[in-house]
Amino acid sequence: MTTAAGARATFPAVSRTRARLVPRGVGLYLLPAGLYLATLALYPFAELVHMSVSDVTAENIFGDWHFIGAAGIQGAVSTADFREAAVNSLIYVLLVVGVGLGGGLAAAMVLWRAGHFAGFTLSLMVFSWALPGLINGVDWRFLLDPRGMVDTILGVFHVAPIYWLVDGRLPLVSVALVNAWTVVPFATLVFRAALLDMPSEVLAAARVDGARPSQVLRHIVLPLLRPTILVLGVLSLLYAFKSFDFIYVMTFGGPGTASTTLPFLSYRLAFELYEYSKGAAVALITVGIVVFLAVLYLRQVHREERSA
Amino acid sequence: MNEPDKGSLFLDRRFNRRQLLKGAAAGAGSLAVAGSLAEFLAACGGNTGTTTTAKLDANTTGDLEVWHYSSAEGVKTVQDYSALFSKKYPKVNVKLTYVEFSEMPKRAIAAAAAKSGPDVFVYGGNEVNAMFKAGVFKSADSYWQSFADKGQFPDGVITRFNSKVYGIKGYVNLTGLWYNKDILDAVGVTPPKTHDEIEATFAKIKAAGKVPIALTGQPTNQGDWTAFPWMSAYGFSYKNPDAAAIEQAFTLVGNWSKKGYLPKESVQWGQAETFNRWSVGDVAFMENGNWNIGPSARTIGSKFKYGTAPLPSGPKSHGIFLGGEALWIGAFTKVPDIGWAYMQETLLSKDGLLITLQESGGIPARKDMANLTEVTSNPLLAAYTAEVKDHSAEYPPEAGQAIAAQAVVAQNWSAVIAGQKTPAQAAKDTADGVKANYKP
Repeated sequence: MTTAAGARATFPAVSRTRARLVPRGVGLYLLPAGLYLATLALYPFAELVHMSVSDVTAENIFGDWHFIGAAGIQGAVSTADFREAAVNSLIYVLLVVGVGLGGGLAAAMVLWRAGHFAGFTLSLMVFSWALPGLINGVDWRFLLDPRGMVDTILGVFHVAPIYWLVDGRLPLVSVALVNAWTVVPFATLVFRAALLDMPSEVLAAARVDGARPSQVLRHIVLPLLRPTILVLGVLSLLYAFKSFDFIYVMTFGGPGTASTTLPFLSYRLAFELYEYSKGAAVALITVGIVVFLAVLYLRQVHREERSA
Repeated sequence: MNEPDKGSLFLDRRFNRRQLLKGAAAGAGSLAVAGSLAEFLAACGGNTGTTTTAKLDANTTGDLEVWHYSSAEGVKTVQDYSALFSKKYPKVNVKLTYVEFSEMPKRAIAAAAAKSGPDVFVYGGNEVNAMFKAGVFKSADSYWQSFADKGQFPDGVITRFNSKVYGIKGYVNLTGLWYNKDILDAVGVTPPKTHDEIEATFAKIKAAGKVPIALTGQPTNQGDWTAFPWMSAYGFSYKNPDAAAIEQAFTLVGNWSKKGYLPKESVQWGQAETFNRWSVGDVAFMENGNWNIGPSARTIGSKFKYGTAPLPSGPKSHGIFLGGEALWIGAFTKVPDIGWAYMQETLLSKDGLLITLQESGGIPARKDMANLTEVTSNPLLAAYTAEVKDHSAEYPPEAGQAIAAQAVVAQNWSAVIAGQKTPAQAAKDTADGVKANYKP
């Protein structure tokens, strides 16, 4: 049996060992994550930067890359295609975030109270959220066809076919709404968790004081949900900005270039036209925007942690 | 690995393919119109006879990987090629790997980066230039030079880089006009022969409650392939992208869309979707390829009567791209002899080309197959062989680097059909884009 004295005698020795080992141990623990990051994030990113400032075509992609500096990036940014894709990206992101969060909040409030209905509906929503984007996109492409289910149902009410994926700005809006539809379940789950965490006595007090539901929502629920809205907003923004799969399967950036966003333009330049430098330059700008948004997100998380 | 010649990286066809085709066609007075593709294309004579790869025999063993993009029912054709090959080389294990068409160049280039890839490619897209430059292919020149049947193949189906043979098409494909005879008979019209006849024909069909035409409006190279005959009918070419000519073609097709002759949703259709829509039975015409002969028999059967006709003529002689799948030896194959044997026994052989003809309607390029009953007696092929004679255009367009220019054409074609751009704006954008991107 170890005596108290013995334990005291050994403690300083253990402490010294730990003092020596801890810094080295931390380094070892970080090594796998560091290697993972370096291999799958930092190296590709460095290559992306290298490619965007070099003249790279199918001819030399596996050979020597001629340095052209910022000319490649300037060349990519100065095109009408880039400007159109940037505007499209902005519209797309606003729709996905706005409808995704608005829909998520509305659904969370409807499903606030636990019960069979809420459980069943949430299960269905999680199912649609868990489906790969490509499958969701293909399904919706068929649903939104002028001979598809949506227009067929509208036809029952004497509504003429709507060319969801063809007319004017509608293709971009339609794809964004479908993308938002997949954001809604995730937002619902997060908002509902936040709502269930809300102090019931505050809500009860508001009702006792005669507050109408709209006033409770505006003056109590939304302020209390503010941190959740911010975090979800930034995450949705990131998700929407880099969205590619829905556009690829539903419109392929068309008609013409009507639904081409920055990630899709980058793909088309690099992998359809083999203009790797321009594709990399557009991707780099896209990454820059995403990194900026990610920094905003991290700052917000940090702020929330400090206030908690 | 084949090292691209850094000094002159361009597609060397020795002759301008279009001139060759036209010249051969013009001098083909003695040829029958139907079934004589090879003779139209033939530019040089040659001996005939069975050939074999000397080093190989029935006891040859090995593994051979073939990349192809024939999915669903089309895969039977590739399987039949392999069965044909296996008859002669039963101990060679052939592995067929499906790679989606648009993914093939990307996968091939990525594989070349890792110094790997299949032994043989079956590929007929417009990205062969990029694939060659990335070192995807091995030259088949030495095999070709000693190939006893090489004289059977016209120069127009051989792809050369730096004067060396790399890819060979055993058959050609092109687009034409398919019609639903039941609808035409009910309405009392015939396939239009000129652009001037189109409006009246389509108006009658529309008035009868049917859809006049389906074609591909996708902003991809399938859209460009579909658009080219209509655009070239007004004088457009990649070397001379005249905005006025383009505007006339775009006005024609834009009006079809506005008047409901062409479903706007065709901007989402590739050639397969176009065929699917037409095969429903309420669409009078479809611009599509001879490769639908097999699928039509299987899908439509006796649901309605159908036929094919040449595309209507415009003010100027139009061009129709000549497609078809070529065979290529992979740059990193360890069994190039077996790869060449596969090429010989499948798409370069009579038996292999008969498989293609019977299963998908591919028109054999071999001279000695021009007068086969299977070719001359098929009424569905007659329109196509006539088009080859009068309107064939080389692909990729005009032997140039055209991928980016083709994308511009396809995007504007798509935008006009959808009503996103006026014909005038789309024509200007197309002319500017083609001038900026096409490299002869």
